[in-house]
Amino acid sequence: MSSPSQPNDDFTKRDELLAGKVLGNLSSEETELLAHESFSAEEENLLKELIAAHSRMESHTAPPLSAAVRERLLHSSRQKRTFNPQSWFIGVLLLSLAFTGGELYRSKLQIANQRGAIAPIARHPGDRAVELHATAAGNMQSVHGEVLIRPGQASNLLTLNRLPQAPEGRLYRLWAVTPEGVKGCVHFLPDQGGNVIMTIPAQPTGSATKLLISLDPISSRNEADAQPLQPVLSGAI
Amino acid sequence: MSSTDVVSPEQLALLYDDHAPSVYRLAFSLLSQKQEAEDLTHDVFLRLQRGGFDSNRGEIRQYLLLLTRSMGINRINKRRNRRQILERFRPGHGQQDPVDLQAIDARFRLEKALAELSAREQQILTMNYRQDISQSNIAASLQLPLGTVKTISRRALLKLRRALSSQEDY
Repeated sequence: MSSPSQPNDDFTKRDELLAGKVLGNLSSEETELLAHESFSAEEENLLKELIAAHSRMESHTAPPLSAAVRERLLHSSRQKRTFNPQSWFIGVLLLSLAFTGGELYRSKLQIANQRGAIAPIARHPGDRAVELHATAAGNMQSVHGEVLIRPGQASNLLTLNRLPQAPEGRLYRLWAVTPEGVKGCVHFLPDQGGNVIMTIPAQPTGSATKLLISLDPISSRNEADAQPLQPVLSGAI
Repeated sequence: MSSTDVVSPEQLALLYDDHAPSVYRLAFSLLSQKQEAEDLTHDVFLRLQRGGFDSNRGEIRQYLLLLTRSMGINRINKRRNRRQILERFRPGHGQQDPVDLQAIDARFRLEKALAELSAREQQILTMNYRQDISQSNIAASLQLPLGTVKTISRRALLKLRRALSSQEDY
């Protein structure tokens, strides 16, 4: 791996003498020879450049390179090729992170798909969502729901998630609180997943100031003057 | 070494023996500290082992010197940044030593010029300049006639001057 050698037979004896003068390795005869000769301008220039190269070499020094560097390097280079627990640990960690990230992404997609299935109806400008919140008595803090009021449409939309199954003999009912009084709307039960998605008549929810959902006895269905007995969710418009 | 292959530890040892002095001299001239220059030399060869060198694109010595120059300048810049941060919190902590790119390039060119000499010429110049060994002792050590050592060192200096001139012309 040695460096390429340049041809060196194009230097004249005179050039070599000048180099020897700069290096200080002339013999007494060579010194004598040069002492009685004058230099041409070209030679003066060569001499100047040789002195510059010589002084650059002299100033370009460094303390000895420690043998320990070689040992350290060879040790490092072998380590890189052998088992390195730290690298393996980092590799396993990165793989686990990638796997977890993939799972998270998959879960996100699933959730998005489920949401899409529950609320497939596109909203229009002017639509107004009335969020339904658990009442203090209802103990249904995990329920998410809303009534989408759709002015100009024949129906509004009720959606609920995570609604507990109704106890035996009871039904959920939507109520509209209007300036004329509390008016009963639809009865419903959630599906097995606790989801409700149903269109409801545009009135009286369209003119309500407040909406309620109650858990009422089935028997109340036929009562003309029924009132919400146990409101579990409510939303102000 | 054929292309950008990863270098084996055995190849690395040979390459280190051939080129480490040159890399280290340049590293020292850049960083002015023995420990830092040795660390840089170590890092340059470790980088070489990863296989960045392509023999179709030039000589390995040139590649190593370029790597030393660029990694050395990075170290100088990092050192400067650390000082700047310290200076922000502790005014008067340290003075900024400007990076003298001209001086760095002059040393880089000198190492490049040295790389053009034959192994024997480099050996004799190194013994002469770096180790301050007299030419008669070099002759004894290498078992060469004194006249041969003188001739080799004179021609080496002439070649060095020619290589430096051609770099400046370029």
